[in-house]
Amino acid sequence: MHELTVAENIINIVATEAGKAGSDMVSEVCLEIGLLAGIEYEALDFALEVLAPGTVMDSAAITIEKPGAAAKCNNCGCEFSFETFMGSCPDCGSADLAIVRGNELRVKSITI
Amino acid sequence: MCDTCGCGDTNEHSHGHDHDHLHDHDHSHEGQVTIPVGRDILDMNNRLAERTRGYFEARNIYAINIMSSPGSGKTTFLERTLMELKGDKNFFVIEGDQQTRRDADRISATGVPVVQVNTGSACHLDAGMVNRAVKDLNPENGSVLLIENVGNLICPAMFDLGEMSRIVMMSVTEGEDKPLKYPGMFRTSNLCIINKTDLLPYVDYKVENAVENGLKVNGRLKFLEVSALTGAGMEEWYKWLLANTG
Ligand SMILES: Nc1nc2c(ncn2[C@@H]2O[C@H](COP(=O)(O)OP(=O)(O)OP(=O)(O)O)[C@@H](O)[C@H]2O)c(=O)[nH]1
Ligand SMILES: [Mg+2]
Ligand SMILES: [Zn+2]
Repeated sequence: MHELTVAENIINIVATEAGKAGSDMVSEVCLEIGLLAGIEYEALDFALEVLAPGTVMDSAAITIEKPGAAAKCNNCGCEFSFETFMGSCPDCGSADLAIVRGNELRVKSITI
Repeated sequence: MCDTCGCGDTNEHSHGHDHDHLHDHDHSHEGQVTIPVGRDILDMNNRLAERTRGYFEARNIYAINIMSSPGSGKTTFLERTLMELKGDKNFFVIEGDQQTRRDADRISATGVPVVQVNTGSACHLDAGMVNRAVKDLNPENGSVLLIENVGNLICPAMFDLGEMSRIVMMSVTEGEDKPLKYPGMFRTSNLCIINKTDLLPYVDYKVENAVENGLKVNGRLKFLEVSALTGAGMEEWYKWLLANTG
């Protein structure tokens, strides 16, 4: 269950950033976690529920943005969205692709 | 939709007051202030992994992260590789398991230096564990460091260890659809070892279907078929290894 590690890291980041702003309590945390990031959203919710009490995120409302997956073809330059699979470019068939969206795993903002 | 943080999901957007959007919505009402953070959740891991990678580069060490489900044959594959290649290359091994020293003891029997990392409740190695293990192991300049990750097809994929290559192993007893079910692991690997090919006559597994599924997820993935038990196909793997590690 790597979601526990991820939840721990989220709380640490939020604590550090809130601390820099002179606060020890946040009211909102906005996360950005793409569909390719390898996170089970429900497992993360659960992990945060378990770990947040008594921390800076005790009473925080959590919002998760979930960018879908997109790739860019390094051969013909086209960009396309996909679900889980991106074996080859739909235009030219090249396998030389780079993921441009969906891997996000970020604390985007906090509200104090 | 909130302008400052871009949060899209208004259902989960709970404030302690009426929220009719008639006012300028910048999250700074009622003394509250929204601070952009933009930090990667795994940035501690990723930074440490980059440091370890820098250490490897400076010492010309080639590190490989080997991942698979439990029991696909990672340790057997390493044992054979070490026995057959240790005369040609300097090898070092890090063994990741939740518990026990069993795999490290098996590697030790080949005479190759090994450090066992027990991850306890964690189902994956992370950059910190590997960084410490590398300090214990002190691999020689120009050597190959083989890192056997914890048997798990999901979690290890998320954690950069500082490796130069990622290998995902699947065995023919696991089914052809593994890449489709665990795309993260196959998307982030550059070589897929299909192991236990000696069992092909007994199982309903077509290598070409598994390869097709792998390519759907990652069109650049390379495949090698081996039997770590009988040694069939290992020559191709040795060629790959020697070509990549110089
Ligand atoms: N028939 C056959 N059996 C194999 C082969 N490779 C490994 N095995 C057997 O598969 C079982 C598991 O092998 P290990 O090498 O311990 O697998 P592992 O991936 O290291 O397992 P964990 O570290 O527990 O995840 C053992 O009984 C091996 O003898 C193979 O090529 N063919
Ligand atoms: Mg093993
Ligand atoms: Zn293309």
